[in-house]
Amino acid sequence: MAVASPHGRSARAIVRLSGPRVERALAAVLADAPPRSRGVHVRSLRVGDRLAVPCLVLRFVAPASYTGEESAEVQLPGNPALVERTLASLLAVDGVRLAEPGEFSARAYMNGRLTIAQAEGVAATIAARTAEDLDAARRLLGGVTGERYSAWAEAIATLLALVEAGVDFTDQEDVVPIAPVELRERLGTLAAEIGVELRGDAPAGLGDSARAAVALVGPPNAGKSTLFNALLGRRRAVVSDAPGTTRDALREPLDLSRDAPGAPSVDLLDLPGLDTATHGPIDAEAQRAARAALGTADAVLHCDPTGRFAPVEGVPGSVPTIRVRTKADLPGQSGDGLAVCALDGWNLGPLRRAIADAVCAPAGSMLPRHRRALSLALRGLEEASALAAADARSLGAPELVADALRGALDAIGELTGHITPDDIIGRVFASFCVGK
Amino acid sequence: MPEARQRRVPFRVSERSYQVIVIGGGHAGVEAAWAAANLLPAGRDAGGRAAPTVVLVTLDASKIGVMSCNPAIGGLAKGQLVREIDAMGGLMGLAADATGIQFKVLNTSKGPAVHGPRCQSDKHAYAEAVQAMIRSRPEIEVVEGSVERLLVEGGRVGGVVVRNEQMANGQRANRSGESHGSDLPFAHLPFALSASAVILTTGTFMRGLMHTGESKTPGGRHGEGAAVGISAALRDLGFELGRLKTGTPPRLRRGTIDWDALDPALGDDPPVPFSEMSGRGIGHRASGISGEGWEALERFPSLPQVECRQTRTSPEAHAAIRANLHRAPMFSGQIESVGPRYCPSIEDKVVRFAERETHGVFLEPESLRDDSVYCNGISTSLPTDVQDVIVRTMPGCERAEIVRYGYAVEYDMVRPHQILPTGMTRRVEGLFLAGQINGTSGYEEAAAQGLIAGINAARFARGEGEFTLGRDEAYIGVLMDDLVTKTPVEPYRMFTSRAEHRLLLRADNAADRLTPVADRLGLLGTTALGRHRLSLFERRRRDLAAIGAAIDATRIDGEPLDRVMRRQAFTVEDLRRAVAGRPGLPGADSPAWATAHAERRYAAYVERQRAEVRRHAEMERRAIPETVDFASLVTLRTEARESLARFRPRTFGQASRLEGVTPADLTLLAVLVYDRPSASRGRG
Repeated sequence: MAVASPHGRSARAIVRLSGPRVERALAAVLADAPPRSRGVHVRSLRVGDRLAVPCLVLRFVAPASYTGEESAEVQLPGNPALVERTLASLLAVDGVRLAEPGEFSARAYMNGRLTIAQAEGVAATIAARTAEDLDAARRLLGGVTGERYSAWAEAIATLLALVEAGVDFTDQEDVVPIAPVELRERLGTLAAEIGVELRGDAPAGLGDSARAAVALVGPPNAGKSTLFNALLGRRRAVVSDAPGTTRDALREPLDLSRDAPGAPSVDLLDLPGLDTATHGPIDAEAQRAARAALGTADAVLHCDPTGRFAPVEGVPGSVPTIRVRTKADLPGQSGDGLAVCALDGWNLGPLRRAIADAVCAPAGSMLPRHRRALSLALRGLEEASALAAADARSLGAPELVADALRGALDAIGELTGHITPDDIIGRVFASFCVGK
Repeated sequence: MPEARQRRVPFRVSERSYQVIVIGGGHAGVEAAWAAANLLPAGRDAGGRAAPTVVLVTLDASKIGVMSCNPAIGGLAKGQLVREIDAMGGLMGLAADATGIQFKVLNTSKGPAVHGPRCQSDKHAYAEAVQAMIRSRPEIEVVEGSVERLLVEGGRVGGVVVRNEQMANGQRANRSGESHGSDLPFAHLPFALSASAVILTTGTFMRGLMHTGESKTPGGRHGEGAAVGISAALRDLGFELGRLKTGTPPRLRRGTIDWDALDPALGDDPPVPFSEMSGRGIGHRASGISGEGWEALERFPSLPQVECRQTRTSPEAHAAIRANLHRAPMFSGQIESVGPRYCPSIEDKVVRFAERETHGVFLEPESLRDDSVYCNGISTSLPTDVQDVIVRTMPGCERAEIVRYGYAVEYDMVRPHQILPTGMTRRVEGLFLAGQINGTSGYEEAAAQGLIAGINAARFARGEGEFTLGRDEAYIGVLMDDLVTKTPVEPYRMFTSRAEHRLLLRADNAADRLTPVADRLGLLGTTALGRHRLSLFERRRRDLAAIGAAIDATRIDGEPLDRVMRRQAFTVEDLRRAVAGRPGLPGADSPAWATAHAERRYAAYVERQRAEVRRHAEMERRAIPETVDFASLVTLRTEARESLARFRPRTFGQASRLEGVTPADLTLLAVLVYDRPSASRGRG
């Protein structure tokens, strides 16, 4: 199985499946019966208990497929959260795994679907892909992100070594296994760090409650409510020329799929103009509510007709911000930002797409492979922590804690390079006087 | 024997040929001979006498099965190996049970997957027990002598040339050499033994060199010689050799230790044996083995149990070590080869962990028959005067007499990328290597390799296919796979953390994992012992089924017992109490209880590991054709190509564990080495 589409920005994602378990894998993610016959089938993806998302399934029957095996291509909305969930469900199926680079072509060749000449091309392509992948890995490891990942891998390896020391070297009186309380503490710190990385990069959620919130912010009378109505395509907010007309935060679902096919709906928030000069208790109350709402926003439309975009208090730096130069119909304007005119609808389409991009592929967006690796690592750490939760003086089941940590380490090792059992044993020798 | 070979060196042709020749009577050698014997029943010669199929060549038959270092079997991860060897009808577990004087399961405060059964054996009794077992087999003949040459023709081994010093000196042959023509006119000449498979288990004897301080003595073990010819023979055949080092501590006289003043270290009461056969009803007469300890098969433990003592090194000793480092072979440059990090000498410990003022030492009696005590923790090759200081400054040992000083030994090994996971060398067909020659350390690791080499040598001799165990099936599989995919930097020792499927590979379920495998191979049906093992295994299956049914039928406070059992605090005892009274349950002594408990305890994790195994199964077992010339695959990255060319993996699973080989390299490799059935079916 492999994700065949570029991550993040695409309107739809494509997941390719090949091999004898295609049907079983499809059954695990589709709300309806998996198609068996060759062709294009409209189906829906099961998301959670009740939600279903429409998708297309292109089914190929062996040997008439690219790989020569039973295979399928699932086209789904390009929402990273949805893609990730679908991948997770597929990988949970016994015998399903992620394809190695070039593996589909390799299988095609081995199943006689490619000629010798084509196969040489395949080999060259895979070799190039390998070089590219290694290059990408080198770039990653050379960068700030890579440093962070490597530091986590190191930290997990150290913890694993401390736990393994308490398993494999307990006959050594000089070895003092790690105390549960210390393990939990260090696991907690690590999990929190990785959690922040994942959340800081969280794709839009699914379902009503988890819809991404996009807030309109900017100085009073920047035309936020006008834009709010224009984006929704209906008059929902009261608009006037007087600054501070909007007193209450408004929240309305916004469908982006017309301009950004496959993109999820978001909640659009119209907030009272955030203004340091208060105009009495009612205003103060409204502003407090606005700030609270702003704190929950997944993305921000910063509206400013002047194009100056002075910093807005209360918007965290990590939240993706789209600068919108409103009232673009007024003469004499220039400056940064996407110029829109809410009155005639100019550039509203590009703005909707920008919103979709912002919530689907936030700043510094993570490759799905990275997200998956970090999520698995985090899961391993949390599991290890839970297994050690009840232990007081020493770990009761260090073999299970180690198993969970090993899972975490292998997951992050996909990004930073595999850390072998030999490496772990080496760390034990480096930290303890082992030997009879 | 072809004439061409006889002309090169004068030697007599033995009147007998065998199917398997085992060289070396250590823990690898005896296990190899035993396994081969289980597969190769003795025939009858013209006179109606048993015609052995396996010959064991050793320098000194009285040293067969000797414990050169610590007289202990098992321990963490090693205990699992012993149980696995035993489950496959091996020799080590039975010999240890028959001669154990202290039994202790290590790590019992942790989960059952990492419990490590260990015993200390009476070292004299152990060697005798092993010798009795070997003697009990009409399939095995023991020949004394040193191997001078390997007979190789056309890349295939045909036998060995053995020199026997006593015969060469015109003396009457030793107790086992009669059949080799010592009464013939050419008795002084080396003689040839022929067989289609040869297993080399040289231990520390290949160019063995012992060090104590500045003094160096050729030899593989205290008081014994070295094997010199075989190193040169292997080099001549093109093998790449390496050199490793190991060491042993001084032994003390128990009567000179203030024994009662020291803290005791006790074994388990009741002791738990390695083998499910021990104490479970086959008479030694039925087994065919005679000698001391063999009533262990009916009554376990058969020897009285002993206590150990604990003491520690002193700051004065550490100071003396520091002052004498220039005389320590490890530091003076006299020893250049690498020793094991997990078993450092006391001088190593003092240097590397300078801040520690003391290190713990266990005093372990080596035998009921003499009062030799093993000092577990102070392995050393320091000069004798420094050893005196180290020992005499340990509390309770102020007047202790050193029976034998510690020493280090350097020895030749064959870099293990040159063997297959069966133990057979790639270079010479029919030639197998097992034990320390492959760069491992430990009796158990050696025995495990002996078992695999013995099985495969017998199969090779019979023209049958290879037998290997997977990493998900046994620690033995992990061991063999590690040997052929890693570059050893130190003597290899098993650890549970080496096994990615540790929760599946437990000491308690070794029989479930491997006895059926051994039975299919034919290791068990040929002997009374093996058949008894099979009948006990049948009983074990019934016991497991009965306990399983009882668990499924039981609820505790409304909660299914199966769920309650997943909790850490729920013990085997709790299980027995919870299902007490249900029908068909075995007695409390049944080993099935531990397995039933562990299976449920780990159910969720085990299922996950099994799923992981299945996920990679296709890749793991997919073969790489033997004929592939990795060096010619220029599309591969240089690093991957070099690694593959050196290790020449046989499966994609092995290839995936090589350093410098990425998943993408494997995909490319799959395309490059794929042998297309037909080139015409392209989709064009």
